[in-house]
Amino acid sequence: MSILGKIFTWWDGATVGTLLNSWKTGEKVGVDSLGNTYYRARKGDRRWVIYNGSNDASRVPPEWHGWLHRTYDELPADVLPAPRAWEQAPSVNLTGSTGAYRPAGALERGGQRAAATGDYEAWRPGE
Amino acid sequence: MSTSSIIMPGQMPVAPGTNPDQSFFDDLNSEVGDKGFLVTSTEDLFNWARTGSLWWMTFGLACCAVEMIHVNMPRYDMERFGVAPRASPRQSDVMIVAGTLCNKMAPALRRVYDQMSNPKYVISMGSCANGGGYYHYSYSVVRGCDRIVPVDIYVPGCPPTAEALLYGVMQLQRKIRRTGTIER
Repeated sequence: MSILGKIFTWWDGATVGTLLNSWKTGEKVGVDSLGNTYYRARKGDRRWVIYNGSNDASRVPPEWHGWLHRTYDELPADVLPAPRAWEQAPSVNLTGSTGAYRPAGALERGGQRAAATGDYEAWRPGE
Repeated sequence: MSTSSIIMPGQMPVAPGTNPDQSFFDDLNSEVGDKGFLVTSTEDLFNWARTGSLWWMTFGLACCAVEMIHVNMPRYDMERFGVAPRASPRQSDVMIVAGTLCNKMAPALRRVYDQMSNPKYVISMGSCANGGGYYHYSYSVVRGCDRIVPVDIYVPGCPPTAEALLYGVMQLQRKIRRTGTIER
């Protein structure tokens, strides 16, 4: 991202202030598979992430999410077991892309809704 | 888990019959691309300005409003994204419907929405505003505020945390930035 973009936008990576603060008070802890960088404060126990790209919290993988939210103190590579064969890869929030979730009956899926199941008795005024 | 990779939107398999014809859009894009340079640039500027000052109409109806207040307080500090509360619908850009919308309140909600100036957006916050929620079978509750106003972002939860609402606001900003692109 250009210098101007860094100054005037806030949705990709860290702002100038966050970068300065991370350099001054932070200590780099690790990088995940997407290139997001994780920091810990040198004084105190603050933890934060600088995204590599869009500032979308769903881009934090689950193992680093656990570290970021203090589910465990140690780094995820040290404390987590090896991935199981049946584990699916996590997914980011796909809203706004072609992979977004469209429930049955949505216009993008034809707009055909199932009829009401009739599992309740509607009340009509006057009866 | 440490070696797992996240699926990105571009790699996602698309349900059959839903994906737009990519070659058509590529043709259209290359045809319009060299003609619409000024338009896209000003649109980007407008969208930047719009997303940078989303003033929201305070429409707290129930317990969700407490979380809506939290997200404005220093811990979550929504004003760092330029999202500030306004008391008047004529000065606000986005209405956050926070809580149960009763039948009696529905005309007032619609009137407030009509009084807002364009472009206007609506965030539906919490189960009750999304679809009636706990009160779905009540005689006096609207089963979702999207029966009254068009909704841009649905924030699930009962009530949603302040973080969830903040994420919803950021999703709305993304949605506004996507305006003019094919993927909405």
